[in-house]
Amino acid sequence: MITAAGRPVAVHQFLPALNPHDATGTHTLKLRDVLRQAGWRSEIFAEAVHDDLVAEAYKHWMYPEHAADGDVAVYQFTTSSAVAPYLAEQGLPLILDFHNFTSPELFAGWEPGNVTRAARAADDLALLAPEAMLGLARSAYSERTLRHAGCRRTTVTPALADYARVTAKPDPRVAAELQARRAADGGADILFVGRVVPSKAQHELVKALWTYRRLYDPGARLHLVGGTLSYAYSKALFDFVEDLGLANAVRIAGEVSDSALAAYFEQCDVFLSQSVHEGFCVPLV
Amino acid sequence: MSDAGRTGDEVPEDPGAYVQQVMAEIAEEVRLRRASGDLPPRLERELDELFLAHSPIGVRGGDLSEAIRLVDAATFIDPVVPVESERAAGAVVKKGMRTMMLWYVGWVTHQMSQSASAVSRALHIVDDHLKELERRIEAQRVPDATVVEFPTSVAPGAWWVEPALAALAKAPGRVLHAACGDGWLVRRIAESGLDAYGIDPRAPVVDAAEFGALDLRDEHITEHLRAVAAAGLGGIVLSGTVEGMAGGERTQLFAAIGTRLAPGGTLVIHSVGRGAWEAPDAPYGADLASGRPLRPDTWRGLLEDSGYTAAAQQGPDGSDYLITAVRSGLTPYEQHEPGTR
Repeated sequence: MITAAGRPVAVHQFLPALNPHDATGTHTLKLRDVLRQAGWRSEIFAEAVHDDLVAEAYKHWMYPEHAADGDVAVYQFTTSSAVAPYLAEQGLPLILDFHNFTSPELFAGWEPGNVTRAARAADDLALLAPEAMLGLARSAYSERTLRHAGCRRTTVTPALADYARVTAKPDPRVAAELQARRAADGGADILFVGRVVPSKAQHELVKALWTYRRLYDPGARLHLVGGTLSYAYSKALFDFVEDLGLANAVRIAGEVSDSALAAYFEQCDVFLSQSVHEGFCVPLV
Repeated sequence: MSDAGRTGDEVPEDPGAYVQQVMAEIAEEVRLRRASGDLPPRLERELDELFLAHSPIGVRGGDLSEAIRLVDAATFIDPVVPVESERAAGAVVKKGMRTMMLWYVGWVTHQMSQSASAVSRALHIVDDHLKELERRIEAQRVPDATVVEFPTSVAPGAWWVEPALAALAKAPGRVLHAACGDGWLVRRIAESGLDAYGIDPRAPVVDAAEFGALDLRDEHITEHLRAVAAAGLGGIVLSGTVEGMAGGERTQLFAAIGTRLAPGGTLVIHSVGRGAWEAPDAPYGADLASGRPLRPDTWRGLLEDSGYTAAAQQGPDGSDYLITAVRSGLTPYEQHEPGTR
């Protein structure tokens, strides 16, 4: 694609929030690199940018400073955002890269703010889907959602994952800690990687661990890796773990470095997920 | 559980068959554990209840009294901030600041506490009125129908089982049986090659069932259907369920069935007639029920008016009957399905 002026067309990406270590952030950065390697100009514009990535992206309202004829926009759709109506106003040729979003009912009762945000996401999708010249989805399930929202041309494409995260050299301190615990207590190490939110249903994993320890393996442990977006759910999860007497068997590790994540994947026996909703579930891949 | 000599790095030749093998092993293990009493169905319910106890009010179903108790606990806003500090002289500095600002902070927090108290008082009045209303309504409430089973007609050898299985043969999806009891019909439906599960509001009956590979749950039919996706079921079998339903409850049930049963899906109703219902040897639940059985022609007319193709079949001794109906029409999903990509 070359413009009349003879220079490559720019393919810019827009998204609600650019975060390190999450599937959408990684996908966006990888796609930006691929686009640039293919000869296009490509920048990232977001409503919120994590402190660690301020050099990688601009605020979305700074787009006019970079705009040029022939620009194409790729919107990384994850949740509701001021970026959606902003993009609709720009009238750019639009590709909707749809990561799906958590339904409001999965936050109901836990996080009123997230319920509102999730409900607005459906409005944003209804606004952008009919205007998109192409919709990209992570799964046939998500593709169906795109089509129902009015996207006329769709296809399924994989998420660009950062496999360096799990192929990085495992953190020796974390690995040694896991090995020492297993040597001392025996038992299996069970792993789940994902945000601590109701839709990932980490409490179901705790129930499974409690039952598994009771029936099969009293030494089994559960490692929950991932930050949280729901204080209420995290607190309920902590208290539940305490009540079941599993405080020493469940490690809620929070966000971890690439090398620590690699150590968890290397040392744990089983990856177990009981998520109610997953857009794609990159950790499984 | 055996892994058939596999290691984590091997890729099975036929992944589908391997998954089926593992699922069968899990089902067998669950069956054995259930049979031994190690894994009673109530265990998961108790774990769920324990987790819910730590959940916010909204997740627990919205108990107003509990919510008001939390409001009461948060009504008083303390203007006397803590002054402890890990740093030398920190406590002295904080205490000084508190003393200097206390008159201002105290004035603001006093008004906030008063405002919160007024809101709390209003909520208590609303709560009292609601409780009084609930007491009055409870006296006039029509109770939900319970399962009324006539032992001779709800058994594996009953005359209506084979015609019901024949009607379900082309069900375009999962088949639900309510009230499933110990799962006797779910097992028969599964053996005929369909994907089936059962629900029954009688928790002790479900708890006592030997599950094996069966999916049985202690749930009420109408509440369960509300949680099922639109057009999510290929077949629904109702036995011992509709006879005692009052009009309103029956209307709600059929509204839910109308959206949850897929186009082409089969609805099977087994019911006793009024003679059996009012006979001296009828189960006592029949006497306590708010409703009474409908005539077979009433069901047929009702279903055909709702877009089903229905047929009625009388039992050999005339005491019970079977209704089979196939749903036509498009689901809301299909009505909005774009024709082309």
